[in-house]
Amino acid sequence: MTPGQPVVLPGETMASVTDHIADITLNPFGRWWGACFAFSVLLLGIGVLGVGWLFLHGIQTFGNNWPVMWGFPIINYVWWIGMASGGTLISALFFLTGSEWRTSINRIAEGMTVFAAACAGIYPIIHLGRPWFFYWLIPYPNTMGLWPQFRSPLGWDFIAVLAYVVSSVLFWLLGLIPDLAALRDRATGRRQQVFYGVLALGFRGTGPQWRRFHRSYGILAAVMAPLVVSVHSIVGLDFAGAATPGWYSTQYPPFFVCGAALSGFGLVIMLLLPLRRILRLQPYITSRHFDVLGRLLLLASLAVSYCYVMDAFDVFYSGEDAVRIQFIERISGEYGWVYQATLLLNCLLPITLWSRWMRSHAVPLFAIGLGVVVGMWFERFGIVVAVLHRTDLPSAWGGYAPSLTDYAIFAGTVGLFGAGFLLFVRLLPVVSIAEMRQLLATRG
Amino acid sequence: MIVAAFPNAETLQGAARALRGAGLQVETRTPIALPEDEHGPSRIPRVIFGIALAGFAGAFGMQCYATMVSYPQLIGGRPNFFWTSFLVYAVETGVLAATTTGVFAFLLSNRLPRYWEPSDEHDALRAATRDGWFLVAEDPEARRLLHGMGSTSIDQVPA
Repeated sequence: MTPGQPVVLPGETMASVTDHIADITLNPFGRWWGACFAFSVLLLGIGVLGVGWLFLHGIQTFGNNWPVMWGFPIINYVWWIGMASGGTLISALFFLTGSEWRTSINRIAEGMTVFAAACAGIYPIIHLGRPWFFYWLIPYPNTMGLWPQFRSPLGWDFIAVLAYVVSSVLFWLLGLIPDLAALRDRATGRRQQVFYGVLALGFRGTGPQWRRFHRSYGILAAVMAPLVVSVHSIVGLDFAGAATPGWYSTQYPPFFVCGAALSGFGLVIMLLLPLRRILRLQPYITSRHFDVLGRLLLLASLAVSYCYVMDAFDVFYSGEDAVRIQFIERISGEYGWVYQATLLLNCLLPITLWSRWMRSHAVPLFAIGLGVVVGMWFERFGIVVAVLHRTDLPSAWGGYAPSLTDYAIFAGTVGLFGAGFLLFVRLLPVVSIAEMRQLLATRG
Repeated sequence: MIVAAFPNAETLQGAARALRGAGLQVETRTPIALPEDEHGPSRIPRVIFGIALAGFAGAFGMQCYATMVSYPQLIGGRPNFFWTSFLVYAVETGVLAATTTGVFAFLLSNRLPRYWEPSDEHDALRAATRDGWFLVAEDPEARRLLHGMGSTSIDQVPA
């Protein structure tokens, strides 16, 4: 990457942007796509087997057991929903701030959000003992005369995640409508014309259509930005609401939001770097974008580091023996390596992004993105497993070993994300054509 | 039906204003929103706000009913009307109502999906989703009025 590039390389026009991005979607892809898709479907298949086994034999097939009653399902749920949140911050928050660099990467970030949120959404349902009764989470008049518990963060979690998943999909689809119309009008084959024609819903770019589109899109963005903060805060409250040493802390909601942003920015960088090269998006995704994303990742990493410091400070300031013993065990005991790896990957590795050289080179950027994505998984593992295995009663101390079902379902969610994201890349425009045209018109 | 192409947004906007001033019904087809449309008035924000507020109030009311009337619980003397903890559910429901309304208000107010209309028979209009600036008018009188307004082509299409 050449440092100092603008958000769009010179020489691009409305016509060239439309043609280039539409051509990517309308023309055949190389073998790389088929290979990646096959691998994702393989992982997804393993996950389907895992879920099938789980449904046949019940949740005893998870590694969860006393005292670690929350294992892989919640770790992976929080990890996926966190990465989803990072995508929404890019597409909604930076839309409101009017950041030009957001324009060409928001579609990929939103696609990532939708499929990461789908992976997260699976866990709360399958981890129920009787998943076929998942609708009991919904408040509705029933013959049993029962209601969900509205005063519990777990009840809030349901409505927050539901609102988030539905809103993310709607926000994504609304933004796609003008681009689907562009594809409909560029498509030459009958099947493509019908496919994109049906999806475009008859958008023709008339004055009232544009006016209402901008109004609706703007309001959705304005609602989505605080929504994403609230969703991850509520996920934090799932933990903070429990009277468990190590979790019972008021800093959990902001701590979780910062962590979500960190892993989300990491995953966006990991997806953008190869896509930019393979789909030849260099004119629209320039070194400027990676510079900004690198800085954002650094900022999120510093915020997360501050939370780790406060986490430790709280422990010793509180003066509670149970919390102190547990924390010392967390950083140096059986799972000490998890805590150390978390610090290394989430705090020390991103520090290198202070250097402009690191922000403008693909390989180190990808490595740091991967590092924080893995690091955030370790963080969740530490928060769930390392905390629960040393609770306040020494008689309840124990260990945790994930089962084969845990690993299979985890692999399945990775496969689901991969397959879903690859289908999106194949079938839908990966860069927002309409917003790129708007950007070019504004820049003159 | 008259379809006129323009080289840029400014000439199109000028022509559309002139024709509307002469009492004609005209429609613009553009690759991006014209400035007057981008910031133009719309009822959508008020509709979204109203429905979001209804979602908030409905969810809040439902929680009050559930915990105070339908299934009151006595847990350590804690009050059943605990409004602070009801806020979360109410806000999230309001947000869900706002986003769904936003999308459906956009579709319904534009009467979408609408898969065919007479102007679709004019292939040149496809450029409106690329870089073309068009004006569409039902009244054949528009053809005469459009002369000298900077259009690059004026076509008559069977309506």
